[in-house]
Amino acid sequence: MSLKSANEILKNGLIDEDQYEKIEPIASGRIISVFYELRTVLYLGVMLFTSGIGILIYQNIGDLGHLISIGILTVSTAASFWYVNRNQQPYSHARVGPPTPYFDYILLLGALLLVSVQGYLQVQYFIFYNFLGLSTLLNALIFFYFAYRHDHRGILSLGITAFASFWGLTLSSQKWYSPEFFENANLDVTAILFGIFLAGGGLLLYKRGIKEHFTFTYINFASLIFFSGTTSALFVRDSQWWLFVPLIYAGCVGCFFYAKMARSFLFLLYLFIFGYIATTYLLVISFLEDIPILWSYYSLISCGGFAYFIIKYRQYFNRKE
Amino acid sequence: MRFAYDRANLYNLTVIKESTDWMKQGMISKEQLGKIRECYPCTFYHPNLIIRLLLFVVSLMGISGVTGILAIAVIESSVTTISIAAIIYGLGSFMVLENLFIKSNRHFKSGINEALLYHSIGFTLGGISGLLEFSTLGIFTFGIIIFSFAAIRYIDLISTLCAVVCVGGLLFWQLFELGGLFQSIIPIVLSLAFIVIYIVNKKAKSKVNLRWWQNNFILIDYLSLIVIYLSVNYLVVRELSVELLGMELGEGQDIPLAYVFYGLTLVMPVAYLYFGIRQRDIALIRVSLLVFAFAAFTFKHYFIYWENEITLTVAGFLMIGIAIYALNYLKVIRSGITREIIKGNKWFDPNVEAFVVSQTLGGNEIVEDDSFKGQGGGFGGGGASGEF
Repeated sequence: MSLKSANEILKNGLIDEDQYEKIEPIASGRIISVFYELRTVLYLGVMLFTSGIGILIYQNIGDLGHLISIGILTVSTAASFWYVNRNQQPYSHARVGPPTPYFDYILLLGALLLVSVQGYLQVQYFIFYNFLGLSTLLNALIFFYFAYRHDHRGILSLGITAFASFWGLTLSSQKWYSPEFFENANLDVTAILFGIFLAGGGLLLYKRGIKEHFTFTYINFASLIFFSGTTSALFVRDSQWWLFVPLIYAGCVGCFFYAKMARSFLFLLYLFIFGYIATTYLLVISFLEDIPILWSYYSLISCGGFAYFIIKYRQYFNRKE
Repeated sequence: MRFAYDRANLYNLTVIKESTDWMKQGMISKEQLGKIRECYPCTFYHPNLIIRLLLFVVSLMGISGVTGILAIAVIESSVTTISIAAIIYGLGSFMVLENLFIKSNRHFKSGINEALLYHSIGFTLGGISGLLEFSTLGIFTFGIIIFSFAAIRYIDLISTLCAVVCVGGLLFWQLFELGGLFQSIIPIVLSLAFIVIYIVNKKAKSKVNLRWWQNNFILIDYLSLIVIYLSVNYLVVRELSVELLGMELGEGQDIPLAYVFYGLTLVMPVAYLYFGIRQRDIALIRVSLLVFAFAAFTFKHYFIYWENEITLTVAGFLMIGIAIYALNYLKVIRSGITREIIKGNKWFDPNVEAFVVSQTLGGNEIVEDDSFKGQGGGFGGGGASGEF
């Protein structure tokens, strides 16, 4: 299929011979790439190694195996940073591509190992024994530093999650859906404020022109935190719906503008999901609750209307170029 | 059988998609892409992935509204009546999909298409199984028929997956039911059957007039390779023998032909990788990586009594080493394999990757909990959440 269309396009004069020469071996499968495969193996390797060593250093404290794992941890941390230092590129506000295909992952490995070292020192020498929060904050700072210094979005997102956990917010996939997401009192309010703060910070950096391609990650986390905070508050604090429904709508408006700005459809998805939850909540407490059959009509009409709206205004939701 | 979509439009869409990828890889210019778009006009409604997802969810919810309204009419009836009603409802939604969305509004995999398709399949198949008193044989047989129909007519990948699963399930179930000798040849029959499927599929894939279903064939490639491996893997064979066939293995005992399965468990990944590289077949290479991991797991499970942390560390170390070595080795193109990006991959967007990193690595695991304060046992260990 590929080769046939490439041939045909060449015949119609839409591409020239040189370009065809480049496309042909790829379209015919004479050359294949293992870029994504090797990067995946590398990523999984980093994940397994850091988890394994992270557990190992706490075991059998005092005996030989323990010393060996400390040795491995130190050597591999040093090796990672030696490599990073040797190959690093100068800092820039703009996007800086990695110098080698695996630079990103060595850096990620180094940052994660450094955090392990930091945590280990805490536990061994009790520097912040009563202030474990500070240790988390320190990790966040380590991550933020490497994220900005070497332009790494993965480490940035680790920094954001570490910073959030400093405030008591756990942002892992296992926790998003659990009912005890906000088990502590007022954690939902923290989440709402944190979301607003994160979005504000992200946008401010964007305006300053510092790492503009990081904005998506900031806004993405900000939206998820903000909406989970407001939505859970809506259900937990029944009587204050008059505060949280408008907050959700405000978040939706924010998402709408960001979606438009970044031409990203993910935020339209958030907008729909949380806007729909808030609206449905309003309707339920007003009258829907009492008449079950109305539910069927409601989902038919609301969803049908929404699908119609998306298709009708398809120009607006056009493919990203 | 023919597919439901307009042929010329589908062809043009494929050309546009390919040229867009060439443009993204910097092989042709934006202006050229624009010209190609003009020469190959496509009137399909085929939005991007997220809009598709959104439309899919919205449509499913909307359809459930219709189901709710209609269900009131039959909810009190017998199973037979409900089953017949479900079949009629399912077939009716096939008609709606075909006429209203594909013919009149030119939807092509728009999210609404998929929602209606799976909805139709679900009700038709559900109704039929109701009439057959939910017999396993009947469900698998009609499953194969309906899913294959959907896979071919709507060029749908999830239906293809389900059809293949039904084929495997039917074979397994039949042999299992026959009992005795037939149960013990399940691994051999399954692997042979899927070798045949693999070979036939390869032939079909190279046929020009079947090129519309290229992605379905690729998917079947992956699935049959995986099934072939799993049906001879020692761990799978042994555990299934114990679990399903009630085989009792005492101390020092092993399953029949154990050494054959040990051998195959190890040899197959190597063979996959070897042929993958020789034939430059990315499906074989990818599956070989998967089954390598599974083979390692199998042997770890029975023979190595290390603690899991050591396995994690060693495995991680090896994977990092091998990947870096391979990336360096492929700096130049060797036997037609390169380390450079030559085709786009929508799943490897940097923003998506960043999110996956935050959800799979241990940056956020340093949560205050009491065990940590005492001995620091709960540190690190960002578990895989299976997203990658």
